[in-house]
Amino acid sequence: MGIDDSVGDRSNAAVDLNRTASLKKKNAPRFDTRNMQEQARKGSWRLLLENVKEARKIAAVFSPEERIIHTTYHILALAKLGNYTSAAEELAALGDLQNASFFYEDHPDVYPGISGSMVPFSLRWLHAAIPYRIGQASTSMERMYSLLDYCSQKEEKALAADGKSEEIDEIFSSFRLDGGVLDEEQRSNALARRWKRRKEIVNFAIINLHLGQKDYIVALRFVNETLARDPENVELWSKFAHVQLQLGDVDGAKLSFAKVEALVDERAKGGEVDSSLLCLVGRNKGLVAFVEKQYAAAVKAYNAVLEISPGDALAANNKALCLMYSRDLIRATQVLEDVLQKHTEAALNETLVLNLCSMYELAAINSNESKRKLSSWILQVAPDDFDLTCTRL
Amino acid sequence: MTSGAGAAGHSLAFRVMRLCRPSCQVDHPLLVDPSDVCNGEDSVNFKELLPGLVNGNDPGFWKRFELQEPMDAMGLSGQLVLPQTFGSIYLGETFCSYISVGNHTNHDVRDVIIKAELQTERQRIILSDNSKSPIESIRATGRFDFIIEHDIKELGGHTLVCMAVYTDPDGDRKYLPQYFKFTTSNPVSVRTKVRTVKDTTFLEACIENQTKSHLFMDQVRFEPAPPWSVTTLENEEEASESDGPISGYIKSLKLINGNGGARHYLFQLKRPPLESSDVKLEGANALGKLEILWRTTLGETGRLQTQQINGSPTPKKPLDVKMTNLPQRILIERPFLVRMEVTNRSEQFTGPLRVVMSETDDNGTPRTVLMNGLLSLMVPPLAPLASTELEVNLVAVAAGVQRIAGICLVDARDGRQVEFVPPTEVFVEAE
Repeated sequence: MGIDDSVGDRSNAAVDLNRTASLKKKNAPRFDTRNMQEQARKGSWRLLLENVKEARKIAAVFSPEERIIHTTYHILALAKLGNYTSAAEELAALGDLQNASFFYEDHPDVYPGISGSMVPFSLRWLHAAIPYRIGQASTSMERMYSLLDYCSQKEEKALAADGKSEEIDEIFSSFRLDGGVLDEEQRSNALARRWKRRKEIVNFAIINLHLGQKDYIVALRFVNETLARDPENVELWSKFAHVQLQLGDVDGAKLSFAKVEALVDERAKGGEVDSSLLCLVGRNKGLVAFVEKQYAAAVKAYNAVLEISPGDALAANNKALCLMYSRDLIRATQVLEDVLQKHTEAALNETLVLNLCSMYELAAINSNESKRKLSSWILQVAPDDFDLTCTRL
Repeated sequence: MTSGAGAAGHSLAFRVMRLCRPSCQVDHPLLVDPSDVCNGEDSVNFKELLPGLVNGNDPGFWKRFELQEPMDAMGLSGQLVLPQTFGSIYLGETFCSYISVGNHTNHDVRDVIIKAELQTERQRIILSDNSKSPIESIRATGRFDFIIEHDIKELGGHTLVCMAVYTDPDGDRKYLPQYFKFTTSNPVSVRTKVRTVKDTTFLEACIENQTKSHLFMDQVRFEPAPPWSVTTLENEEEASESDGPISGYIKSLKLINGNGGARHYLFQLKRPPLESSDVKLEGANALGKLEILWRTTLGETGRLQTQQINGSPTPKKPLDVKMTNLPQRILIERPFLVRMEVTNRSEQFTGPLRVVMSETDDNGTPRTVLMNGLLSLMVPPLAPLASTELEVNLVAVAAGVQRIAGICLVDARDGRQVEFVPPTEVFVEAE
């Protein structure tokens, strides 16, 4: 309360009103990060972008961590909507993410006793990933490699730290990480495990960049290191086989696919095997048959997968190509149209649509009609981040 | 990528699409772990997360936003994507194309003959022709599809000619030709070098990739021309086992990068040792051909064979020796004379030469026709292109069919063998 009470009262009242209004706004569902996540899951990026922009207008009412989370969603939404340049600009505007203001200990009134960086990891990851999408592949490469080191250092630090602080115990008592109830050891190493997982993500993102640049040997070296750490990783051996096929090493790929099957068989002996692994083996069989131009056998293999999982977009897509390569263009388009209709959410992806539109062009003189029909249907059902250039209109 | 259009006034139209192998799509998805968006990286406050992670089979587009596994960031789902451009075509590849003949009108056409031909500067190759059994009819909005394949064996311009002959509803016979042009180029350039070290000939081959993307060398073989035999020399490197399970694979991966990447190969060539009696062929020394089998995306094959690769030509013989006169009858243990002509083919004087004869052949078996007497025969120095005749005194020690062999002209100064007299067979009569 100020010295001049009457004036103080009126100005405080005004501030009070504003604050109440802002608090009301702040607590509006649209600014709830859980709702933002829900919108992101639905692919409602435009709505999300709107909400984030509104939140930034009243940024002062949010905590520093909330603000940076909004910024992360903002940049992510811009990128998802294809506006990579704006996303890059927003990232640049943040400045150095190691700046003190991004640390909890810089705001002891809001975060008493907590230390560490409040920057959401995805923000760093976006900072590394986005340059590639605006033609700056080497910048992305550099940043991803730095990020890999960063994650290693953070993991080491977290492991070294005493993980038995009160906050962690209290918070984790009711939280399920990775779908299980945390035991004592897990709780104390939870942060280290998070960093380890982040490091894995960056590792695969680096492989992705090298594959995009067609630096297959370098990509394979990373795959090799990853396999050394996890030699029974069925999915990774399968991906390795795909790289071998992309190179043209058919015999090598067949050996790797055989290894995948052997690993899955081993697991089957020990008990039930996840249907996703059965589908993986089935799809691999189909792919090998395709490569050997045994199109009928390939279709059979893909059908077996679709029996287990009718919405398997990969199986449907590759089956369609088998049909096309065996001269059955019309059935090929039907397979793709069918899976899009019946299993839209699972099957709708840009590659599948691109293949369908290429088939339309081959099938008819005036393919634009089919493509436009497809395009307007997509506009109705697709998430905001769907890239319509795949319709080749 | 598809080409072709309906020519005005025609009921049928061709649509053509090159069917090279598709590729495995590499995506660059922006996928995140949702807890990495909603929390500070060092935060252990996970209250903002939606309860539990989404189950893999749950519907929705969440997979376009959330990572299920870190490996999803690799962007290699296994989804195949059709070729989006015609691309380049190279010598040694197989040209494959989908051809669709569509009736885009609302009336049927009858008696349809479809032909596909590939024309180059040198020839016309028929790829498909159903003239002997025309299609009875292609109904309105119907189609006839076929796929053609052809191994590319020529460089330069190629034209794919598609022709349709059909009867339209008015009873007119219509003819629709359509042309699609493309050029083929050399996928590799091969440079070879032949080196001879003592008795071994080495062939070094450098294969340079002139395509825009990598080539996987399935096999690089040297097919030797007889009597040569070949061994491929490879560098056996020990892979450091500590790296990982595919270290060895990566080290030995025979991949040549596009746009000028190169790989070297070394072959060791050997021929069986020449008998002193063998006649050396002058001139070009054919070693053999290099055969290259490669693969590209998803196993697309290619095959090329080089022209004959030659070693260093056998040097022209400086001296020519031949027997010009044999007696009509040769009796056992009776000395006889043979006449020999020696010609100097070189541009220098030949040194004084001596005629010698080995007493055993290459296997150690004693000869049955020997020089008579202890004196060795001398051939005086010969001027360039001059020749001389000499008589050699021989005696046969066994009867029947015998060989006169092992007579050699050696340099009188250093004993170096210069030229062997070609062997002859004679009949020796018994007493």
